[in-house]
Amino acid sequence: MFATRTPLRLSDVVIRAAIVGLALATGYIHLTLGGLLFTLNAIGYFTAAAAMVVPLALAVRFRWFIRVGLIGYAATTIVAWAIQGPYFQLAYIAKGIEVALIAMLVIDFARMDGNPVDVIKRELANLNGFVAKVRGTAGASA
Amino acid sequence: MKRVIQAMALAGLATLTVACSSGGGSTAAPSAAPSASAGASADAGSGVTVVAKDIAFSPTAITLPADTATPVVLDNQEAAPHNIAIKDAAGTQVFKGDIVTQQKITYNVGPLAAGSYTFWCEVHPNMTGTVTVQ
Repeated sequence: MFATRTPLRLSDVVIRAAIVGLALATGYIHLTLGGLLFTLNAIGYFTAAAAMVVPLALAVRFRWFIRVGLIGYAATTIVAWAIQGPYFQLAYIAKGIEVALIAMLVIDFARMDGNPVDVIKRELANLNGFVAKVRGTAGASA
Repeated sequence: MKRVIQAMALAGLATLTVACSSGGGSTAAPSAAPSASAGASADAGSGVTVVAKDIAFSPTAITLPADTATPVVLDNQEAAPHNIAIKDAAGTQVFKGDIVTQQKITYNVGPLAAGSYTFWCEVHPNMTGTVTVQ
């Protein structure tokens, strides 16, 4: 259930802590705005922040996906705000935090996962292996 | 944890150089007492007060005099930021007030032609009300 921990360098810990801190910060700001949409947005950030550090094997295995998902989540929030507004001080602060969050996630992805094309190739190969295994199991039991 | 979050928010503020854009003419001076919740009307110069609380406006219907600049007071009684913006029947925004938090602010709404308008909060677009100008 719990993942085997690979040793993290100090810089890894700092980056990871920054990601969690930034996600919690923008989540907190959205929580203070009130209303359903902002509250859901805050919950999304809090969940992602937890997923970035939780030592469960599944989360560790798919940490790359959590990074990509959080990048997309923050980018979507920024684009939605840019389209709809409103443009006031706290919103600019939140967007600044989200830009910083995306930057930190990109750095973390590059350090931990490497080339995204290689990651996709690796995951597709894993998926193919999994599908073949399932088919083999189903064929053997038939 | 809260201090960490506040520190992060302050760090974000420090790194930002973008200024807040605000288009509404407004002052922070307190004004008239709250009006009845069903609706409120203003004579020229006396103004009308709209309370923002629990992500809702009260009253949700106000009446302003036609062709006369009128003060409209927003009494934001909660931590969530709110403002008042007004659009005409065609959807064209005719007024935009500054966004405030837990503050009473007086907007100077310029002369409006007689007709029906909608006011809303730009932060929470589901917070709406009607403005009758007559």
